[in-house]
Amino acid sequence: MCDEKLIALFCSRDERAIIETEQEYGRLLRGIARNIAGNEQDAEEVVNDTLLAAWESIPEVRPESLSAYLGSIARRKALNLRKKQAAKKRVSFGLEPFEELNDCIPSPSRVEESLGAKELAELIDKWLDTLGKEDRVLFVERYWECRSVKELARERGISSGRLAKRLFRLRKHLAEHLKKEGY
Amino acid sequence: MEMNEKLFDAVGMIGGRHIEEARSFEVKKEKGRSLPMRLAYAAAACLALFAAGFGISRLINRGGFNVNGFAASLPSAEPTETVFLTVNPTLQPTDEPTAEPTPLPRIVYAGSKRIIDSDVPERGVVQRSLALEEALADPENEGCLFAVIISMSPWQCDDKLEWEEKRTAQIRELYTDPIIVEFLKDVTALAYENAEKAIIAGMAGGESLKRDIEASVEARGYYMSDLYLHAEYDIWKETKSPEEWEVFLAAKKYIDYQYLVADISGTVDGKTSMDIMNENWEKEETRWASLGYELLEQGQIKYMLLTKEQILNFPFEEQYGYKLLFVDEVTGIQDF
Repeated sequence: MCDEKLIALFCSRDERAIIETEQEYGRLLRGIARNIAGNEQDAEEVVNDTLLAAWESIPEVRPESLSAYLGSIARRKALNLRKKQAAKKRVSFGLEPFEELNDCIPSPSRVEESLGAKELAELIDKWLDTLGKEDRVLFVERYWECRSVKELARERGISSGRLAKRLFRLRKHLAEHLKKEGY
Repeated sequence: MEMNEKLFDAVGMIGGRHIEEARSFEVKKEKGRSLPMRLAYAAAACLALFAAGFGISRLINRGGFNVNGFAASLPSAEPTETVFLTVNPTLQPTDEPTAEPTPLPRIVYAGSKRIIDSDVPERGVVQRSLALEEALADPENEGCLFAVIISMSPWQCDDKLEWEEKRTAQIRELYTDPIIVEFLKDVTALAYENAEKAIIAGMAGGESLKRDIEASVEARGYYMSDLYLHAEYDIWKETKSPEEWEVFLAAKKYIDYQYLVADISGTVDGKTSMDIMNENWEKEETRWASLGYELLEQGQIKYMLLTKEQILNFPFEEQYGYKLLFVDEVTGIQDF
């Protein structure tokens, strides 16, 4: 079912919205949740919470892209869950893509003080537009979907080391772009 | 907010077009090398190997190469047993000559199975992970120190349970308005009538939600949340006069607001449940230290170096459950 129809179901408070959205995007959400939360059980909880959050927020929010909207909710919920569990055990929550993004921060204090996540997202959007399609997709798969380097490398038929180098170059490039934009 | 958290969130908000593109993109696998190329690479590798062997033998014959030194510089093979052993570098003997160096205990720091085990046992129970049990039973590890993480369950303790009770009462208090109680009773009854429509069972909450509703009805006579009951809500509206509906809406708006405030603040007597858990952790850390069980820190990882006896006699508090695990079983990090 297309996004428009799904959003229409949400807007008319039709419970099929949940079932249809689960069918359409369940796999994507479960993948993101599993990549971040780290296990199936938590992933399931995140997917359910995400669907409920969508039910509660639409129609007040009318997302342009349902996959992007649901995915961003799932990412946040999964990250919170992971952080909560790490805090219980008093260990670092150690999520690789999260840690790697540190490389992209050109001037920490500047970003922290002045830039909201939304403005940063716009800058990243602009930067993504300057990339080739393959690099753009790779960035989204690694840092938006939080997929593992091993899995992405296997899909591309290259070694993990080579893929890690490509990702490193991308992060460096993003850091330069952010710096050029005054951050 | 941590800074890379902001960046992580920002990546989460990138335009939908990029997400759609990634979802529809078919990754092309890089092709492997062709057979002639692979043969050429193999031949080149053989040549290189031959040249290296030749060079090394020349060096040895000339006495310019110390075979023993070379062998010593090679990394020693990892033990193949189920437990990896190492010596803490800070405890290694120095090169300075001493008459009789004191033997230092080896430290067993890693389990063989990289299992993340988050189950903490019941109150008053100390459990040890399987890998730790195996390492303790291994005669090779006699006299060793074991690097373990203590997983505790401060959320089972008395003051946390008391906190939860107070919080439930606080939330329940919000729903005692007679208008809301009547509404919830009516709507719950409607939901039961319509249960076959799978409004409850077929939704994200599934069977567990249905059980929650049943338990709630049994205990209170109604189900507290109307989150899943929109269809019933509409039916109920039809049976009311506009005036009744307005009164109800005003009451519900107020209650929803109160609930939101209570939910966001998440505090009872000025404390969140996390505050209580942290306080309990700190109390435990102080108690452990006073008994000679000191927590060491490596980055954000807190662990203890304990003897077998200390592990077997771990000093527990009745109100907590504990689990003792190797560091890597919790963090996935072996060389920490």
